[in-house]
Amino acid sequence: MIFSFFIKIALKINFINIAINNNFIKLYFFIIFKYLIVSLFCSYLLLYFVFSYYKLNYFFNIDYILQKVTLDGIINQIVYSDYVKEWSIGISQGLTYSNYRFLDSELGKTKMNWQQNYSSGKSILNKEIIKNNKINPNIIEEDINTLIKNNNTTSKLSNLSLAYDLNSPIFKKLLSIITNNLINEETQIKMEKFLINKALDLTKVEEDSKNKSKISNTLILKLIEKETSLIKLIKNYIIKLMEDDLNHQI
Amino acid sequence: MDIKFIINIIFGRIITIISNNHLINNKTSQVEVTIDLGKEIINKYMLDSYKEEKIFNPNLTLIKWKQENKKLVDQTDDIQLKFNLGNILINFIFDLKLIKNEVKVLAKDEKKTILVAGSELVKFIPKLNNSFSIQSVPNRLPMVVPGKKYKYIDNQLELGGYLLNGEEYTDEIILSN
Repeated sequence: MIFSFFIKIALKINFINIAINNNFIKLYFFIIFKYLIVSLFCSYLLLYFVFSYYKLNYFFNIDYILQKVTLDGIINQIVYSDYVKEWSIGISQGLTYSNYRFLDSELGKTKMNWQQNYSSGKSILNKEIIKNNKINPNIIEEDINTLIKNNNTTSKLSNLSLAYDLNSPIFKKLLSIITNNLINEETQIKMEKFLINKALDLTKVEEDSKNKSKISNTLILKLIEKETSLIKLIKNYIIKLMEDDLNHQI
Repeated sequence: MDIKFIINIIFGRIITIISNNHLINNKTSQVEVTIDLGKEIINKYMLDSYKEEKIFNPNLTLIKWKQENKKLVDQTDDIQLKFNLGNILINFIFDLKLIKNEVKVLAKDEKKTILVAGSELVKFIPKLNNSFSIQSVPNRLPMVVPGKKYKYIDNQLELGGYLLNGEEYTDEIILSN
């Protein structure tokens, strides 16, 4: 209302000017300008009603149903089902939560890629990226790095290299707990206990020359090496504390 | 205190730091890691005390024990105390050169000190000098059986979720502010 009121005032002032100058060219442009303003106002009203209708429907979840039946929704469903399929295959092959998170971020990229293509007029579902994301339990660090390098998509992980060493003692131990036991509460408790004390289990790992090349094994071996120094440090600190306590008592 | 337990939590932290190498989050922030280590020591002390009492009273739950020893729980729930305790362990790791601290500038007036792989580890894995991270398994994984249910019996809250919640540690459903 306020908007239309201001337009009316502006039009009246303009009309008086034209009447004074008696300039027909100006009058011609004025008419075009007037229709332009009116059309803009009408489109604004139309958009307003469309949006209010959309908002109203949102409460009845029609938006969700509409999204499902549109092309957008269908493609999203395909991406999602492929994603779930990939994950379920991965679980049967010993896929871990870390890999799942990685896959999740990759899917984010895929969705974003598709949205970009869709907005630029190319409605293509980039299935190749999903295919590339198949996680094999025998995958080695180099494979993951090349996968990240070859992906030309933008990602949160672009500046970060990741290494999933599924042959590391942590993964192997967890896998052996799941595969060698029945799926029951005892197994769950075993898993929880292992996950809390996994660092303690690592110190029990014996040096294996075959796995020396693996990065995580190098790290674990280094930690085991440092264990004796750490025990010495802790014991020295305890002795120092006891001495201080004794001196304080005296 | 058990030395094996201290080594366990120290190594656990190092693996987590390496898993988030050069990333800025609560798993690498020096202050948060230090407080977390102190928290682990206090929790272990509490758990040992609870287990000692449980021998004489088998029906005692961890949450009930905490309510009975509220004074001790409140006294040990001090961030400064946790930081001081954690700092001792952090110094051990610094002495062994397994980790080092690095200051990251987030904005003009905002800086954060994070923990990254130290020179001893970088010597063996040079990639760790840059943003290279070795993923470890997180402590929270999907369960293979349904989780425990949270119950409220005789004004006593029984913790649910993971099966060891309420027995080895307490992850309460209502968190303090």
